[in-house]
Amino acid sequence: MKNNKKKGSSRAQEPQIAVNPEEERARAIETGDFSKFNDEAEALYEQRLRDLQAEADRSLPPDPDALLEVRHLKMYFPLKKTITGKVTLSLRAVDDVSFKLHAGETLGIVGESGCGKTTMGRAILKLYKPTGGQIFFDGADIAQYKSKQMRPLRTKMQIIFQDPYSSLPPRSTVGGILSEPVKVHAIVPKEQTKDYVLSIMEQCGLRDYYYERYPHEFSGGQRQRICIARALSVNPKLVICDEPVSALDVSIQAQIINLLKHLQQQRGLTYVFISHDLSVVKHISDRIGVMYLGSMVEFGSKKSIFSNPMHPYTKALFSAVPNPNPDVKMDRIVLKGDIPSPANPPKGCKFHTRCPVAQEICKHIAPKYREYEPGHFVACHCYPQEDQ
Amino acid sequence: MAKQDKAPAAKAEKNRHYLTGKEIREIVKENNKITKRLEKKKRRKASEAEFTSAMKDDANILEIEDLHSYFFTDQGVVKAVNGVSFEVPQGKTVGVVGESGCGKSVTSMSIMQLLQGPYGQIFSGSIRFKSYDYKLDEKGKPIPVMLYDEEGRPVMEIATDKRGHVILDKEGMPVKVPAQKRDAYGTRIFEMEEKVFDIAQMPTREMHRLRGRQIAMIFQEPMTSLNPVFTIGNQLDEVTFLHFPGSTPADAKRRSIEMLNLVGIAMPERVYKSYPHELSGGMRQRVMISMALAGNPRLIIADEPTTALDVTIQAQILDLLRDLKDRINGSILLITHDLGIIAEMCDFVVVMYAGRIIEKGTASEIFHHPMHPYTIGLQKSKPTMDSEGDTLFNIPGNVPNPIDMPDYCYFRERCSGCIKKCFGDYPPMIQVSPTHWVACHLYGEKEKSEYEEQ
Repeated sequence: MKNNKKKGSSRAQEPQIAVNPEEERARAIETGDFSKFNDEAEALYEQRLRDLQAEADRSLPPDPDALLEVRHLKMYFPLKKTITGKVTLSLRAVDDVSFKLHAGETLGIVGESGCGKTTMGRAILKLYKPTGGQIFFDGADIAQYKSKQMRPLRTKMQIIFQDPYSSLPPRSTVGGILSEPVKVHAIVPKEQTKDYVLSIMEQCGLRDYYYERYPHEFSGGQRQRICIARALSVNPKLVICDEPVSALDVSIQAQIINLLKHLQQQRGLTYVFISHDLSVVKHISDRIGVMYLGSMVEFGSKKSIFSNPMHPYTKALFSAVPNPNPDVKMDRIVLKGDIPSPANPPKGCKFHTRCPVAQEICKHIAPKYREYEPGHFVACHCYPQEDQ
Repeated sequence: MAKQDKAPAAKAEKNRHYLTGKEIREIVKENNKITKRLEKKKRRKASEAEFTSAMKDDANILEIEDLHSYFFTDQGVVKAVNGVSFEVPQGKTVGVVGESGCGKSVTSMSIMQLLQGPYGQIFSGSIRFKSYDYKLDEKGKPIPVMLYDEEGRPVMEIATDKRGHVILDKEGMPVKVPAQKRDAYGTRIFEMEEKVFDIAQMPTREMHRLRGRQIAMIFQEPMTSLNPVFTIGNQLDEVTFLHFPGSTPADAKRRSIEMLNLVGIAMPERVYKSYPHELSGGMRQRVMISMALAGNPRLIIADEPTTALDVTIQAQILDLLRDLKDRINGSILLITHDLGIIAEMCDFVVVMYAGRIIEKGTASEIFHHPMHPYTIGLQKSKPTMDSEGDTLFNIPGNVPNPIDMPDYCYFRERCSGCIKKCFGDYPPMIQVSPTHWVACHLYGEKEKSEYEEQ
């Protein structure tokens, strides 16, 4: 019975796409009267527009300067399926995210929990199979690669996880943990493995006699160093740092951040640095992307984002960071309410439910993700949506 | 000969990481002796005079003096809190800041007597708390405050039983009793009196009078501190039932909903009926705060209240705490590792390192004139929104092993400003201004005399 109802509703939607919503849209935007506006038809229309855009961009060649280029990346997780296996409801963890990252740079991704930043990092590494979109790594689209094809690429891209307490195997020694990837990918001849691992350990600030020790003998900061050494042991170009310092104390955080920066200069690494701590991201990044409910709401260089935050969410996020100066009283923008569920995101602009400057149009039409300054992308109705 | 020389050195090296079975048995025996004594002390029946004390300064609500809280493990005694003294003045916020393992949470647990026994014990010291408790009559029952009309006659009301049904006499007429005074939330008022208790000497049985009612605690992880099988309302009502004698279910519900309103929950009726898993992280923390407020506490201990929350939600919760402190005229003991939160919220700051206080003072003293190298390093190592520059200042090394603490300054190995004196005893607390204290040899007699000249 329930199933039939579902089918009925989906059938009822189909004719609505057939009516041309563009006229209605134009009229509604013009007059600001959204009383007769059909939000569901608009959602489908937007979906179709985005699919068309993704299809059009598909044939474009990748940017030769960029080490990593992500185009219209989508990562949906099925929540409900029909008996035949068709997905009727999905959680859009990452929905249409695009960016470019040059070699040797650091991209900081910030956002609240549940905004899809970790999922995006893992999807780039193909730890999840992306639902759609393209991921160009070194000029090759790896989005549709099979796991066998990915294997040689695993040496080029690595990840550092958030919790160093659960991401190290408790039963192998530090030497074992670090030499396993070296052996599997045959980075150096077998007999040189130990020397090579020791040199990596030295670079990461680990003493050579730690080689025989087990992870439980170390403190959080040292374990995170082991995780970093493990990621670097295969000579990667791109390292995805998934909240590498969130579980650490302030004084240890500084050690790890300095180590990451030092290694970047030494080895020319490219980082995607995922964190919810804005001050850390500001310190380490060259470019910053702000995510909200699976979409990128603002993207730009560190300088342009911090000197000129454009999206209201970015502004609120910046003002929410506590300032370690007791005399400064900040005019804080406190966002009301909680982050909505990504399984059922709000219609129109996803941020409109908490936005301090939301207008009527924000509740119905999603803003376009547009470039307002060179390299500075924003998705917000506060800024002109069409070229003038 | 060479062999002999080597052997003791090897043994000493071995001893540091490994204990023989015999050694462990000795430690356990010794520990059992101490913990049994302390447990017995907690279980004893004591008259109130035994744990009543007096405050040193009447403006304070809490005074901790030379507190030692130890954990008796099989590897040795962990001195998690090792001689901590500080005060919480009435109506102020005091922040305790430090890295993990520095003993800040153990201090707060000691105040609530929540250390996991028999291993965790308050070993010595005193925690004086000024409680505002019910005045008891000879039978040990609270004395109600009655309601009188303008002419001084007691106001009569219809008596109801616990379920809210009217009690009838033999003739079928409702029984009338003198009415009791009620506060704004409809809770019955009793006569109160001020008493000072020494929590370190209090038996656990007596502690129930303070916990939740006088001192409330907000925990770090709201999901694990709320019971998943009971509704929010059920858990909130419990506080009222426990701490307000004579409350009926209707009274409790009214009070709970008022409390949910107070913390800014939009639909308190709905939240009252829902289960913890149905709420988001920020909402759960609000419920935790409302639960803490339900007992009308004078002191709220917030143990990392926003660590598990997002930065935007954190801003909401901090705003709420600040607002509430003024409204209920209480004091807050805020425990956190985030210097930014401390700067925003606190009037006084206590910096802890490896179980000891290394610096304490007002917020502006600690942030504008930090003195201890650790405090300075901590502030420099945190990247801020305004800071520029390539490398962060970092404090080398780690916190020392808590089992065998050295007898010299715990920070010596990580300190950049070491002097000759640092190789001697642990530095005493040195007063550098009426409110500013620091435990560091760098600010010895010379600095002090300089200050006095000014």
